[in-house]
Amino acid sequence: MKELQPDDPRYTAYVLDELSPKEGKIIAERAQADPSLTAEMAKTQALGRLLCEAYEREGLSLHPVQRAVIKRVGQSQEVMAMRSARRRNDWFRGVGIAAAAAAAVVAGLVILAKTPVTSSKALVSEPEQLQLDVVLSPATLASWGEKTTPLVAADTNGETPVDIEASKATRAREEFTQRVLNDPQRFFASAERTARRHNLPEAASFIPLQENDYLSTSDRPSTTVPVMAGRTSFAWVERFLRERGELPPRDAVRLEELVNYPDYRESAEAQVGGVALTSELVPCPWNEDCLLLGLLLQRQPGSAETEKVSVQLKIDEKRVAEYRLLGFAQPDGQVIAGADASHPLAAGNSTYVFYEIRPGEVPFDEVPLGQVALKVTGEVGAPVYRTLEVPAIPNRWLDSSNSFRTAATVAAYALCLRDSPYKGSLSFEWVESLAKQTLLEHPEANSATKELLQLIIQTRSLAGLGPQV
Amino acid sequence: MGLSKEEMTALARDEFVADALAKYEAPLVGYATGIVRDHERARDVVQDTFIRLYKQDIEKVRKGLKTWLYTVCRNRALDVLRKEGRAIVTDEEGFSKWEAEGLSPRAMTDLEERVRQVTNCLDKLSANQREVIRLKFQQGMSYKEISEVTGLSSGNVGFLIHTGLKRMRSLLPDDLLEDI
Repeated sequence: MKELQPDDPRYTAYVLDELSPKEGKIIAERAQADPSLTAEMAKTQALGRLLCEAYEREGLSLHPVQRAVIKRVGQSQEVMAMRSARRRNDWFRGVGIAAAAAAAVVAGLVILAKTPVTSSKALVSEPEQLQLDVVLSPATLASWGEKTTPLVAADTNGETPVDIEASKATRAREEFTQRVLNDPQRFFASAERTARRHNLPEAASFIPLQENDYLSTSDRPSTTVPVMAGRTSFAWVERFLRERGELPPRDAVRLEELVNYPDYRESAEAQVGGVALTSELVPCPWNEDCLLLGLLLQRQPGSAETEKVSVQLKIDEKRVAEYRLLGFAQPDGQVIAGADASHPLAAGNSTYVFYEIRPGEVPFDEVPLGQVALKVTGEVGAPVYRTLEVPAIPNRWLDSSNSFRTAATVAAYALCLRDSPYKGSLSFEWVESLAKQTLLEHPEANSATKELLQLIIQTRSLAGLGPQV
Repeated sequence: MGLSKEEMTALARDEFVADALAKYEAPLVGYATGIVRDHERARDVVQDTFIRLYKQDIEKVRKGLKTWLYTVCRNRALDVLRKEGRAIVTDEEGFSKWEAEGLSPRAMTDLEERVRQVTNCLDKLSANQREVIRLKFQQGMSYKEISEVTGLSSGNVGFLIHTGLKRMRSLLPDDLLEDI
C-alpha cells in the first residue's frame, strides 16, 4: 500500500467502506493511535448521514400521468414484440394491423416531422438517443416485402438473404418503436384512427348541417356558450384528403371539431379551481365588418373532474348589433345556444369557441362589448362565478396568442371546406398562407397542432386544386 | 384459458417495471434534476428511462438494474442538455459569493436545519462532485458502480467524493457535524 498522505482520499474511502480489508486494517491502526484522525473521520461519517437525510427528504416523483405513459407505451411495445414473434416468418407479407398502424404513423410523420430520410446508422451509433433520427418512408415500408431489395446495401456484406431479412425485421421494429417513443400521444391517436378504418362513406350519408345564423343582440342579449366539442371530424377530413385525394363532403366538416382537434394552453384570465377561461378579440380575418371573439376554456391537467362548468356570454346591446356562433351546426338549423351546456370537462382538455361580432351604431370606446361569465359547480358547496370583460378595443392579429391564431386559422379552413355562406373573402389559397404563417410563428406547437396546420397547408395539393379556389 | 409464454413474460415485465418505478423513481428524478437543473425536464428524462426499461430483456438487466437505470438516465439527461445547447458548468461563481458571506457558527441542535444547510451546501460543489456524492449517499452505490454509471475511473470517483466532502466540511459550521 502506498504511503498515506495527510489528506489522503483513502481516509474517506475507509469511512465509506470502500477499502480492501488489508488497507482498512492499516487505517484503523492509524486512527487508534491518532485521536484527531478519528474525530475527522467521525465528522465525515456525520456528513454522510446528513447527506442521506437530505436526499431522503427530496420527495420527488413523476407526475401520475407519466407513470401511465410509461406503462401504456411499454405495453404497446410488448404487444408489438409478441405479434412479431408470432409472425416472424410472414412479417413482411400482408397488411397486418401492426403494419397498418406503422404506415399510418409513418406516413403522418414523414409529412409532418420534416425529418430527413436517412440511413439508420445514426440510430445505431447512438443507441441511447430517443430522438427520432430515422424516418422510413411509405415507399421503404413497401419495399420490406421485396426480398431482393436490401434496405441498407452496406449491411449486406457476408450476410445470407435470411440474415438480411432478420436484420431488416429487427431494425424495422426498432425504428417503429423509436417513432412511438418519440411521440406516444400521436401514436395512440393514429392507431385509434387506424383501428376505426373502414370504407369511407358516401357524401350523401352525412347528415346535412345548417350553420348558425347571426342573432340580433336586442333579441338575445345573452347566450350560453357551448363548452364541449368532439374531435372526430378531423379524421374524416384527413381521410378524404389523403386516401381519396379529394375535399371532404361539406357535411363531414364540423368546424368546432376541427378547431378543437389540438389541445390549447394559454395563461388563464379567469380561473375557478382547475377551470380556466381566456378571451381574445381580433378583427375578423375573413369579414372586415366583424370582429372575431375567441373564448378558450381549459381544464388544467391533473385537476379533479367533478366540477360542472357553464359559460354565459352577455353582450352590450348598444355596441353589438349581431353575433354568430361559429360551428356547432345542427341538422335542423336550430341555433344551439348551448342548451344545457353545463358539463364536467375532461382534465387536460380545452375547448375553443368563436363568435363573429358585428358592431352596432355606437362607436367603440372604452366600454366593454360584453361579459363572459364562468360558472363552476362543484360536488359540494355553492357554484363559483368569475366574469371576464370582452374588451372594446380589438387586439391585432399578430399580437394575438398562438392558440388564438391557430384556432382561428382552423376555423377559417373549416368555413372554406364547408363552402360556408359566411366564409366571406376566404379561399383555400389564403387559408394556406395563413396556416403557413401561423406554423412559422408557433415553433413550440404541439404535435396535433402541427398535424392540423400541415394538413391545411397540403390541402390544395392533396385535393388537386389550382389557385384561387 | 392459460396465458401464452409471451403473455406471461409481458405480465412479468409489467411487474418488474412497476417494482423498479416504486424503488427508483424518486431518486432518479433527484439525480436527473442534479444534471438538468429543472424538475420538469428531469421528470421527462426519468419517464424516458423507464420506457426504455420496458424494451430490455428483463433477465439481462435484473442484476445490474440500478446501474442500468442510472446510466440510461444520465445519458438521457446529458442528451437533453446538449440539445438545448446548455453548457455543463460548475457553479464556481455562486460558490465564491457564498463562501464570502460565510455561515454563522451556531449550535446546531435542529436536524432539519442541519439538513437544510447541507442541501444548500451541495449547490456549491462542482457538478461532478455533486453527482458522485448523490450516487454514493442517495443510492449507496459503491465506487465501482458509480464508475460504471459515470464512466469515471474508481480512483477518480474516490477523489471527487473525498474532495467534495472536504469542501462541504470547510463550508459548513464546525458544530453542524457534531452530536449526530
